Amino acid sequence: MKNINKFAILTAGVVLLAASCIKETFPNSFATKEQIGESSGALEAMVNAIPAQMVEAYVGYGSRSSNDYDFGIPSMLIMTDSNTGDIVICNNASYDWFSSWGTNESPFGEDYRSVYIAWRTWFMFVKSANDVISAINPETANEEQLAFLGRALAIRAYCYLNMAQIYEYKAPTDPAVRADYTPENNITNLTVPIVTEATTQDEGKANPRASKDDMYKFIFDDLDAAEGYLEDAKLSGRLLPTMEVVYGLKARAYMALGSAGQAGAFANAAKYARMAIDKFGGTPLTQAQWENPQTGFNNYSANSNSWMWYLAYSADNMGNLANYVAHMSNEEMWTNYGSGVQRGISKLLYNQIPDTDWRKHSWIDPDRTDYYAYKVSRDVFTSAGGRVVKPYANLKFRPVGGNYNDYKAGGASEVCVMRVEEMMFIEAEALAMSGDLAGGKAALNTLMKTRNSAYSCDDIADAEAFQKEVFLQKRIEFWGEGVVFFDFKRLGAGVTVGYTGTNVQEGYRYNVTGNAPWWNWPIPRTEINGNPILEGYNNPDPTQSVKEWKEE
Amino acid sequence: MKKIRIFFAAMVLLALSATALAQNITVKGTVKDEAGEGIVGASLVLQSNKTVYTMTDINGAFTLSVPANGVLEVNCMGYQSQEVSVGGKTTLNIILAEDTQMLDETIVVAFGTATKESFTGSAKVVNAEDLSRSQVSAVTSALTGKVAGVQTTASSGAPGSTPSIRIRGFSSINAGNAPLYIVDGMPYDGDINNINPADVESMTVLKDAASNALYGARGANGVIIITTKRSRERDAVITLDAKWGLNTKALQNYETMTDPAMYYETHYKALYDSYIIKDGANPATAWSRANSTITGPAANGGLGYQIYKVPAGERFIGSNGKINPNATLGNVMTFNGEDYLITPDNWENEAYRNSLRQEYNLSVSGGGDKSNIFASVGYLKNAGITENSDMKRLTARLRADYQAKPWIRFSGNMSYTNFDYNSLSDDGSSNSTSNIWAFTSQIAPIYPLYVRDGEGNKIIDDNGFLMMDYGDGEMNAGLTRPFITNANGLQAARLNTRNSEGNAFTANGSADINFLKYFKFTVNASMSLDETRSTSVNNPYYGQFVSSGGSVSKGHSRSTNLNFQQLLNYTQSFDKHNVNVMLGHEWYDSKYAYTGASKKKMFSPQKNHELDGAVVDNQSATSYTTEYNNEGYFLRAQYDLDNRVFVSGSFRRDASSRFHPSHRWGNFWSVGAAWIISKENWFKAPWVDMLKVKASYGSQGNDNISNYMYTDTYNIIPSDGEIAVSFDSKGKEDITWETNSNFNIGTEFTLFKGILEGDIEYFNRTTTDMLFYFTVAPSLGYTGYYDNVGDMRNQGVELSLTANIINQKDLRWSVSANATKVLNKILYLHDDVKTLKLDGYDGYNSSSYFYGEGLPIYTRYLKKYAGVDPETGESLWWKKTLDDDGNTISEEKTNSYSAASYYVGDNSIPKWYGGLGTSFYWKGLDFSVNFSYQIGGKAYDSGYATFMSPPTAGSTGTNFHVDVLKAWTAENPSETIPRFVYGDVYTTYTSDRFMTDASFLNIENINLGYTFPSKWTKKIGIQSLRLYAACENVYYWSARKGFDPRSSFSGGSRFASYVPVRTLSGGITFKF
Repeated sequence: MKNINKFAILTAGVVLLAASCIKETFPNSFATKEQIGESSGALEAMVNAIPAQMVEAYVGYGSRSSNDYDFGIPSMLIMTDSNTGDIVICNNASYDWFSSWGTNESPFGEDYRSVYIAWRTWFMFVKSANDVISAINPETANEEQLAFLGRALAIRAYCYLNMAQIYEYKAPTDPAVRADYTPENNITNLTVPIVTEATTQDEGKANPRASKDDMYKFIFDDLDAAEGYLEDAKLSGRLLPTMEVVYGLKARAYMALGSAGQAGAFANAAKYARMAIDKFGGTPLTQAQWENPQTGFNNYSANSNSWMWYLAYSADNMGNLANYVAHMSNEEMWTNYGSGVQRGISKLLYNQIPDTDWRKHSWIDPDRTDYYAYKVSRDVFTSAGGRVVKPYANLKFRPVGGNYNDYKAGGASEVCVMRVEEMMFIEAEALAMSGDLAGGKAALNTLMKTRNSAYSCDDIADAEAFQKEVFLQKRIEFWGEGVVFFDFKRLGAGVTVGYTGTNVQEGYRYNVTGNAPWWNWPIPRTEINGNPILEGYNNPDPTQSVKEWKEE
Repeated sequence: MKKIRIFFAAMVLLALSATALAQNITVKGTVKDEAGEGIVGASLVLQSNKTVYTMTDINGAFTLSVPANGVLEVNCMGYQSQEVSVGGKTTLNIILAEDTQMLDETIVVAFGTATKESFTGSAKVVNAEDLSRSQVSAVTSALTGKVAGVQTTASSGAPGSTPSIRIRGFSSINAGNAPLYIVDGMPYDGDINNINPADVESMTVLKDAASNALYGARGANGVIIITTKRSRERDAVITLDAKWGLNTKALQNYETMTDPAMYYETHYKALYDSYIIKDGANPATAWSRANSTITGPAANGGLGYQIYKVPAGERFIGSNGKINPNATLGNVMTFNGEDYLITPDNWENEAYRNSLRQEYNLSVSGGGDKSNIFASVGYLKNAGITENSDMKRLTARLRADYQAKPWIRFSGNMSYTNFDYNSLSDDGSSNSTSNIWAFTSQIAPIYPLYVRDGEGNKIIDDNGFLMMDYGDGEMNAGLTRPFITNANGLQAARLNTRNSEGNAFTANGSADINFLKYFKFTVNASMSLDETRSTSVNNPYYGQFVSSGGSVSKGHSRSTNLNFQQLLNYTQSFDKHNVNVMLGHEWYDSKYAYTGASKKKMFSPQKNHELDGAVVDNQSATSYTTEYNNEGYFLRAQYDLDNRVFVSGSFRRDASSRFHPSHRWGNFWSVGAAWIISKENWFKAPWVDMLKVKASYGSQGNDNISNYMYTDTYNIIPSDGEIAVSFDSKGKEDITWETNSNFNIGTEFTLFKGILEGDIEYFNRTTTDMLFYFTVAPSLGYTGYYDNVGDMRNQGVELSLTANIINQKDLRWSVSANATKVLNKILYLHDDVKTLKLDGYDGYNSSSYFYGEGLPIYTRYLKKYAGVDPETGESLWWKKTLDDDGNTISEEKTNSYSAASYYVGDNSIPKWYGGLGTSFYWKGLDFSVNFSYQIGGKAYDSGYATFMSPPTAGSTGTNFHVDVLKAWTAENPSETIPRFVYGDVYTTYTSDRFMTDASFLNIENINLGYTFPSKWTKKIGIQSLRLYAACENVYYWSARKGFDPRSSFSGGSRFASYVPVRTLSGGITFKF
């Protein structure tokens, strides 16, 4: 019995002592802040993450959602363009994930998810930039780190420049806009709250919409700083902003200010556009590049003479539905979206393109049989080749390598964010608007001759008319690229989608002159609840703020 | 069972003093059960002098010296007590009747068992007999309505789905609310489906902190202890049970339209009214336009399909709004030179089937002097009520106890499960292209399911499949269906595969070592392993994966849990004072590993579901592991005075890997007491058999959030071939244990010689440092983070009553009922999270809920419906004007949804919930019915909202509720149902209009059985034979037909998901 007792006591003692002190665990499907802190390449990995995150599927609402319009910057490009009426649904509108931006019929109030996703997306990238900015002390940083800092500042400026224009409240000018489209308080000139690397959680709870002046000052401060850090930097790659992109962003910002009446802004825009062109040293896309069914608007290497900044999908980090090609390409056959929905051009705009302008080949001509031998990867004209691509639908955006069946291959595209042609258009318009009409015309002619050898703007009489011409050419040039929304809004250009013979489907036919209410995107309710200082200072819900045009 | 008997006999012995006195005559005899088997461990005590006693030996025999006129009390656990007069006899053969009630008397509690009377906490036992009345596949499904304080919901009726369970309200907003499962003493994290209900002896639900505290963190939301069967018999008993059941759909449909004509006419009216009201068209123009639109494209408001043949030159809809009487159903259309007959199908009838459930269980139990063994095998095959949804399960269990030496006892329990499930995708997603339920529940009654040739024959495609209409503009007469275009959920369900199959293995081992007279040292170890292989195939024939030639994804997961306990018990009695102290240590580690990959271009999509049968890599290879562990030290002391007054206390110190190392440890404790008043000498109330009062208080921790929430986390992603880390979630370093303090006071009673028994309890659960996800302004770049910043209270009352109205040998009838009332309130929120003031409450909004100080959890954040505008028929909502402090100054109605204000909405917490049941027994015939119910609480009826929504551009073809026929019109203004006009997008937008009373009454099951008299069956060598029939999930009543509030705690309702299944089954049980 004594032995038993000894045995038992011993066992109890050993066992109690042996298993003690809780074990530390570490994740391996993601990384913690601590693990990143221990990694030598952490800062670079955080910088690399920004362009990858900018094309990530479901980045705004969360990875488990099925909002197939939630894919970062490329979706922003489609959202803004859809707002202008230049993008028209040529086939089945049921799978138009961007109808909140295209129709004015779908709910687009503060409670709506699409409103939330847009807002969240921009601020997510602001945070990623802020994280890099806060991690670098310019006093002690080495050359490489300073370059990272400069690029992060440029990213932040890009996000705020977009938001400043999208969310700035511009009162509608069309008397037909419903009277209840009225803000509760005066919000004219208000943009979005500014969140920097120094903003605390508490400050974020009472962070008002910055005035336009404050916002642009903030943007220029960032761009100036970026300019300083990037000036002598050795930069690799164009997935992140380079010096010429900083100039390009400044040019864009000055255009917005110029149209808002700020003295000297157009001259600055012209100056920075020129600096961007010179620094970049590129040339416009050629017809062969543009119409290439394998590399058209999806491949940086094939278009590197034009693309100043681009983003890239990675085949091993993408889904089949939430990406740019899936929604923009009408050749793709792996979704109900691209070839199912078929984004095309407004007939009004199409009819303004002369036949001598080869950019016209970007869309299916209604009389295509005797018009042009389109370059395609599959038979898009008979059902034997898959879905038939309808009149006015685009052939501009191509599945990568012409691979229309396989989303991993065909969808893993590169997406252009800024190309040199935009700088050329900006230079032309800005020169004219700052008094040098002749210089503007010359610039436009030079560029446009590469698109239409018969082109001439020589007989345009005044700067106003010239500005309209540049605007028209930009709409043709940048269709689907997310550029022209900002021109529409800065110029108060109105939207015309309802007219006799329109190719715009019912439900999308909302005409307005001047400032369209739906160009002032609402701020989501979640933001107001978390930052209640915004209560009463939101942009009103633009849904059905004008009557839909009806054909009688 | 034998172990329990011995244990109790030992308890009785301990309670008595050890000296025997006077010797008169020597009585010898046996104690046997009704079947004539000797009962081991029965105690015989002389009534006049309780120091004179003995116990029966292994054969049930005893010898005792007693006065010739003495009276013996004979007791044994599991049998009814008996008093026997010696009356001078020297041989006594005593037969004890089995006491079915007595089975309830032992309660399996934390780290051991307790008698029901000594138990100071709150627990309820569901025994094997109760379980046998539920024909369920998951053992926890049998709890519904049975236990006061327990709420269950089932969000899906798919085979293999398990209910969610909440015990005594909701302790936490975001940290888990699910209870801990303990199987045979060890925490169980596996799939509850891997436990065969036929192997379960009892389920004990522990509800208060004093009962749960020893489980530390993991028991904060209550504990469900599942005890598997072990041998109770000396002689081997073989039990064979077979049952067969028929599964049918148990969900009631909403009152949607079934008549195509009615649907077309309603849609026409919506278009017509829109043209008149919105476009100012005159009636003739509106009529003509609506006629040309109605069967046209959805973007213009059309339905896409014309299923009527309208005579040439005539209009489809007359100017009276009715279908042209000359129109006939079935329309032949020509497309690409082929004729097609377009005629509607009943999608629901085609989707559902009645299916077979079959279950077979075989068990053997028996034992010898030192060991006993229980072994079982079971097989379940349950086909779902749609194709490709089913489960197959093979289970085996072996349990053995062995008294190796007088001082050491081993026991082992091993189980093995092989499972194979087929399920359907996107269950519950109302707009999914592959969710069969999205189609059957919502599609308008005008659309064909099949593609038919001009003669009406269903077309079979080149692969031999019945062609189904995808509405993609290319297939069925080139028509485009607006409702979930280019998809067919039925075909997808038929041709796609979602399978998971695997093996689960558990092994428990324990050793009890008795030493130093009063000490016992116990080591328990358990291991569970679950290997699952999953397959997902998207077919290459139709739908989204045609272009990729079909795709197959394979996944493999392995989940391993290890749990290790060491317990040191000290038990000693001093006269009437009994003391037990336990010291323990527990260590737990849970690992999960996953590997998966996917390929496309499948060689043989029907037969080869492996990656090697496909050729193009999908570049989605993944593998990762996760690990969680915790550790605790604990101490428990129990004391009782003469089995009348019981006191217990415990302390546990716990650590969890979910918290930062510096905030990892938490201290939790409990105290409890019970007093059996009826045992006091002064207690004189002959009608009271037993009366006990009890009270307990204790605290526990909850760490049930995701791992690594204490730090910022980053995704590791590729960026142009380089490594990138992108921000994922915000962490907060100082988050720590959420503490659950639970006060319980109650009484248990048995009255009128057992006719009435029951208990009444009051509880107050306070959660402090509640872990919740706090939502921040998205401009900060993240959506929120977990923090410990609130206190919440659940207080309530539970009542359980059983009336044994008739209790005779051959005739028994009992009725039982339980009811629970829970009041839930968020008591306090930290200033940091009070970002929003709403109707006088401070708090914050997160998704569709408002969490406010002084409000219950699951309070909706909603706009308030203000009825119908009597002039225009539009929906109206309330709009507040606020002062600078956020107080409402005035309210007005508005027809602009966006301008309307948010309000503190209704909440989902029911006023009362519980169950009712009755059982009846007459000469071998038994019958029982069980109900569950809920009174009060409000849930959002998303189904009704969908069916009440008018069509809008691009969004047509969804069915309508017949209530839209009563909508406001200028001629017949309605006060409650707004106008039904095409293009009114906000009419049915989320508001309190669709918050619906969530009360329900559900007949859980009805059972009828007959046990043949054993004197007949024994003649053919069968010990017992029982035949039975049962119906599970019989019927339910709710506030609106089709509305099913039983599927959610937080106020949702079941919609577009796998409907609940009714099973009608019959079976037979043999015992040899």
